[in-house]
Amino acid sequence: MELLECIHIYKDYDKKQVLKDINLKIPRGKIIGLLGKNGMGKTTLIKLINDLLTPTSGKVLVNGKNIGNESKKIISYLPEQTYLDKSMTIKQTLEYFTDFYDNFDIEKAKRLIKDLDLEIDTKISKMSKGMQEKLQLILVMSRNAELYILDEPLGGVDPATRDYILDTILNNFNEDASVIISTHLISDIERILDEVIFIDKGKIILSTDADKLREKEKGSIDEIFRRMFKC
Amino acid sequence: MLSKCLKYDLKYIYKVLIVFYLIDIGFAIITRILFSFDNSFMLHILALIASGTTISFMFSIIINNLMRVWARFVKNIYSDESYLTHTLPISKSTIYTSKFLASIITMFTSILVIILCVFIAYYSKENLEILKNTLQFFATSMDSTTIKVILTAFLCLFLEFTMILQVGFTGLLLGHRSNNLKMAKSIVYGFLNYLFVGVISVLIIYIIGLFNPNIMALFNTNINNTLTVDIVKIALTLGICLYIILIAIYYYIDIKIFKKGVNVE
Amino acid sequence: MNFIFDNDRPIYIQLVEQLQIFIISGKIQPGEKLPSVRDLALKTKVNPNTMQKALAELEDLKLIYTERTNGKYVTTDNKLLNKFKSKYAKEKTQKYINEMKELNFTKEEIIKFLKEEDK
Repeated sequence: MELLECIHIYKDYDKKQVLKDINLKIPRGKIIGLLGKNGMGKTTLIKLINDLLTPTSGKVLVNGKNIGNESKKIISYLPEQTYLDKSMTIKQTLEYFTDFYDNFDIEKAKRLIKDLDLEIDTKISKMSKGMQEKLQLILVMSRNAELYILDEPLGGVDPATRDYILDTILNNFNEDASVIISTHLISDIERILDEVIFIDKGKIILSTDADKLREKEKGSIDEIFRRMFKC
Repeated sequence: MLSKCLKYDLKYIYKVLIVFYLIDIGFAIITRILFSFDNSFMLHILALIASGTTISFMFSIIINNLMRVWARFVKNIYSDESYLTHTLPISKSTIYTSKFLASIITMFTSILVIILCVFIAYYSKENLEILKNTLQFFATSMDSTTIKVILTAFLCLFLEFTMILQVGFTGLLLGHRSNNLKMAKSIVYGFLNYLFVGVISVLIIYIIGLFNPNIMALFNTNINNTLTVDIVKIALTLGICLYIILIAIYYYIDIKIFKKGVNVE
Repeated sequence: MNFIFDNDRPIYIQLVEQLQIFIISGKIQPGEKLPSVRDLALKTKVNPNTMQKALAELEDLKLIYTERTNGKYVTTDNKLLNKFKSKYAKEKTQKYINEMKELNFTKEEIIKFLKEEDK
């Protein structure tokens, strides 16, 4: 049974087709790059998997079952938005996660927060946008999930932060779990990918092993991507 | 999971509402103190101002309560925060039920606080006597007891506010199914539903009236036809039952709509 | 240990090459225990799966071996290490000579350059 399977997914907004017949299988224990230019359907697909959108037609299966409580227990999702209640403190946020997620490792989260020199009693609204995003990444990676879905984790960050984010991901995902990272900044991230999925104009163009693709096309994933989509 | 959800919903609503409670109680106390000096004209003016403030804060409590409940609903279910709400391992019906219960509980306490403030500000032997007499008047004319009159009034008020809250939720749920002008549409849907509740209530009572001439008397504007106590009583009971049933139906429909999924931007 | 990658070639091949250099140059001593796959992956900032693949390749080359539960060790087989050393030396020298020849230097000149530079 696949960890995640998308079967013939279509999504329309009014009359615009955003996703066209998406078929996808995500195995366990892999880091997968969901690569595509902005506005090509990456976020829409991710939101469908996380029950934030409903597909026009088609199905998303997690461990063979429809999206629901069971899938939410094992998927840890990092959206582009800051989704925390900004009137809460870090400590209250940790309690919130402990309350709702059985697999939340609060000790790990506290350790990572300490590494950032953040005081646990700080209010979220008093933190910079960058810090809020880091905190959110910590919360997401502190869950012992089976599937981590990270939407544009590197969007608009400086190189130091980029390293911090990549380290935090590599350090904390558990070995049997899979990680899906969506991004349009391919060169920053391609080194850690097992597999790549190219998505363009709402369709999956390519889904393959990263090193095999490099060998076959003689170039970096970034170059191959640019060649294919001429950007 | 429901209790955990409820804990956070209540926390959010009370965080601000409590401040309103305290301010209103404060003004009620000030009003009482100022009225107790009855020898100064200036103090009397101040007392009247304090009294006016106390009363306006009572309305503020209700309005803030309604707004806070709806704001929580929108923030939690449709704004950025919803990215967390919808990815928690909680069912949609639990999320909705928690919001519904939180709104009922807060409305209940708000009404209690308002009653408390009235007592703090205006309690005196004479006023109590007036209140008693008024209630007694109603009670006797309704062929009932004062306690029953108080409870009925409280229940009517409470059901009315609950209904307003609920059609608010329905409006938000319907409005956010659309792809644009979500907030404007939510408000329109909310109003339409409230109107619908009013019309349907009257209609149902009228239909029952078709089979029961006693109830039909409610609709008879002929002056000669005086309403008997019994008819008013029946109508009131009918109205209360109808509201409870409508609230239950709305609750069920709201969950149905919510379960169809959301489309968060 | 510092790793530099270019994204143009399969990452695991580059890992194999660089780890080989560390081993034959003695930066990782014969018989030394290697960090765990996960730690190595973290240090090099690559995917643990890729590191696993690279180590498997090195194991095929007999440069490292697995001691059942204890982890992976660098080989103590000096003969093998020397063989890799000379193979590597040969490659490098060949490459240098080829480049010099392309620039039209004679064998004697190349030797002269080498002697002069290495002082």
